[in-house]
Amino acid sequence: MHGRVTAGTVPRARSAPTPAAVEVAALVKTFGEVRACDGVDLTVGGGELVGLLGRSGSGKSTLLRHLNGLTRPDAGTVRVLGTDVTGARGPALRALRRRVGVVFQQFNLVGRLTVLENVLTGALGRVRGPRYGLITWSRADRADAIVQLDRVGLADRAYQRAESLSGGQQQRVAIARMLMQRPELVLADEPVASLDPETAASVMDLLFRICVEDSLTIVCTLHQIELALSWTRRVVGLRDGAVVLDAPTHTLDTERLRELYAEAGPAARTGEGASPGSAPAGGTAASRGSALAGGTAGGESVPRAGDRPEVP
Amino acid sequence: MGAVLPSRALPRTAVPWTRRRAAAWVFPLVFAAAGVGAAAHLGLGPARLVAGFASVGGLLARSWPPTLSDPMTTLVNVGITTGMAVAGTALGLVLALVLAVLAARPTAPSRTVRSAVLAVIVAARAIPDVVFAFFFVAAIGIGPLPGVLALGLHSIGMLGKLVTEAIERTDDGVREAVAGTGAGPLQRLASGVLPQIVPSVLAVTLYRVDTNFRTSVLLGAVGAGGIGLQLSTAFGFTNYPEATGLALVTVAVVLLLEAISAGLRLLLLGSAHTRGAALPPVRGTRVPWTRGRLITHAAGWTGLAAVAASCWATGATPSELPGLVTGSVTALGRFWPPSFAPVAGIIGPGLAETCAIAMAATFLGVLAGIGLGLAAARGVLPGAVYAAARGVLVLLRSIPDLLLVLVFVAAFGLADGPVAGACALAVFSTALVGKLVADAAEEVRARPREAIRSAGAGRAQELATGLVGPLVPALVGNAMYALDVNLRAFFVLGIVGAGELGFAISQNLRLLNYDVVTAIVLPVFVLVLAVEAVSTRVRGTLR
Repeated sequence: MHGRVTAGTVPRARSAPTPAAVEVAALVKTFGEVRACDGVDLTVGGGELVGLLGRSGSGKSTLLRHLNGLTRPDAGTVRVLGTDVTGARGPALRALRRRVGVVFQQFNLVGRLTVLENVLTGALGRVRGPRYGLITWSRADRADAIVQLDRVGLADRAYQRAESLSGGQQQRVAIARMLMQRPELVLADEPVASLDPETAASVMDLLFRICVEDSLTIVCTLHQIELALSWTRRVVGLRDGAVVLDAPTHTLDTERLRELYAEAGPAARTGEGASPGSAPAGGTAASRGSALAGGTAGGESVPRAGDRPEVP
Repeated sequence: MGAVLPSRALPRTAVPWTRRRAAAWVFPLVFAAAGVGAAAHLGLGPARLVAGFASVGGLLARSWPPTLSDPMTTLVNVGITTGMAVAGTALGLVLALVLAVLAARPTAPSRTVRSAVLAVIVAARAIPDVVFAFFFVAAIGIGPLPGVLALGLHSIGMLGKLVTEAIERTDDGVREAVAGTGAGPLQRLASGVLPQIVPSVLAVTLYRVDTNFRTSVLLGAVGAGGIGLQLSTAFGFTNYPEATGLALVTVAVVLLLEAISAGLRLLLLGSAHTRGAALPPVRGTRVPWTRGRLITHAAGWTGLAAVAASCWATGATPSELPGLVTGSVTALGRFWPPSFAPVAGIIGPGLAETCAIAMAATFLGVLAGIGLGLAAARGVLPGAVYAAARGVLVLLRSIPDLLLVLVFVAAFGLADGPVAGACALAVFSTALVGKLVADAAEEVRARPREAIRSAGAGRAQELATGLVGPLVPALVGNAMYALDVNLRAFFVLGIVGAGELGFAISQNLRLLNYDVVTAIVLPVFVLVLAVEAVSTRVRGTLR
């Protein structure tokens, strides 16, 4: 492991620096006694493919929900696509949400409605007035929705009820709904956790391929290490509501990521010093620093030598 | 250690007296005592009962064969009554949808609005439809429109409550997904909430149309016109063959509406049209006419047309709104403040009589209802008995309460109004309790009873152990519910003029002494609320 990671790791090819898609600083969120987010700092540049990893309860879903204003922070700032989500209300928040597509673990389709109607929901942000029933949508919108369905390989199911599809198919419809929104940033919350491994792989492939093709930024929470290693380009690890790991995926391996899921909390390991893969307090601070530095450097989130505790 | 065990006394076999157990014994005893006491107060002994039912039989025999002197008028009246029910339900549904959105936890704008709107929904349920009808007749004069308004406002109670619950049951994730697309508030309701509540809204609305038809027969006699007015007129002129003809028509329409609504429920909500039928290939943006889509569109447009026709036929158009508002304001001044003085002498004994009528009717109804209900529950008695009991139950349930009261008052004579009312309401309660008992018995049926049978119990033992035990809490609830309904039925008696308070109400309505009507209605209303509070407590203890 030590041998593989060298100082001055070459960042993945990126032509021009793009402005940050996500800038989170000192985010704190508590639910009763539980501190779901405990001072999270995170910057994601445009076009990045970021995996958020951590045990359940580590705060990754809560962090994600802050990014489109579904949850409001107790403290800290959240800027997404240049908009301050914390302060956004009403129309401003809706304008932001329109630019942020979400893929949910449970797909969240309306089972009784047709596949096409579900996809069309994605266009609500740019049409005026409520819609109910296919005939209330313009022909152009319907055609657009069928194009999106075709991209996920389900155009032939357009007029079927969503509930009659399999889980994997439903998630593909949800991806088509997300595409219908024409988003700039994609948030995916455990998109394949409800699917069997084979389907999961094909849905992950579809989701990330589309993000690369359309140069979309994606922040995707995952709890399967292998999926993170296969598809993301950067992994942010959370533990007890704090970022404890932030590194390019190619510098990581299964063993390194497994540390995130280890039983002992960070406090227990602080005394051990900088043992490989552990994230003591200093390391956490360093990764925060690197995330912020990446933000100021215009999306360059790949850490430099010395930022990582594991770098010799 | 080993010596301790044998020397210990046998465990106590006495069952400890818990609150629940005490209530399970005390309640039926008190209930029976009150029922017998009430019957005695009214002078309703077994002999009187037999004589009364014999005179009903005599009346029915005299009124045979039924006639229908003017079928066209009757048809128009059935149309008006149905129109009132449909338009009233539609009005209630629209108002209930708006209120439910404001009252449901996920969609309410604020906690204050939520509690205020919930209070409105409860009030709409608590105020009897007949009281609404009195008010609107006073406000805008007789005709179907006050009937529509009364049905609409009273329906808010039940529809609002159920729609609120349906919204609260919707999937958070779907609502979040829609919100996440940047949809506005109305779009979120139309795309995130509405599709999820459509099935339950449809089911309760269809059910409500049935109920509202029966009520609109009753409101007809208050001044809303339609078949109810024609019925009470025929009884008033003691034209019994004609009355029987009209009664048969009414019952037939009730049964027909019930069948239509059951069929629609099956067609629209059944799984039949979701699966099966292969879908045609997708051809661009042209939406294919699948069976499901055809059914939905046909039913939807027919329904809208029916509502539009009903509104037109009953005069429920927006142009009536200004007159309605000014009329209501004026009418409020005529109903309020109540004037107790003219009825001060009769309110005390009148209330006692009202209570006695309701109590005696409930007692008799529960007794008969248990028998009928058990017989009409699938799998309790042999098939032929079940089928017959089921038929009687369906038939009894389809008879509007007004019709029962009219028949019994005609048979007993208005002088015997309280007894006639108690008997009519007893028949009504029999159907009510019977239905509830049958449903409850079918629910508790299967598994525990199989276990009891496997233990080698005979049929009677099986019924006693497997049915009676679990049924008692349900029965107590049903009895209290029936009492509540029977107290409210006081207003039906009022329309016919039976009983001391009922007679006073019909007199003062005729004389337009609305402040006196308020003075009579108010104590009864308080009584109804008190019984409801007691019934909630009793049901809570026995749960």
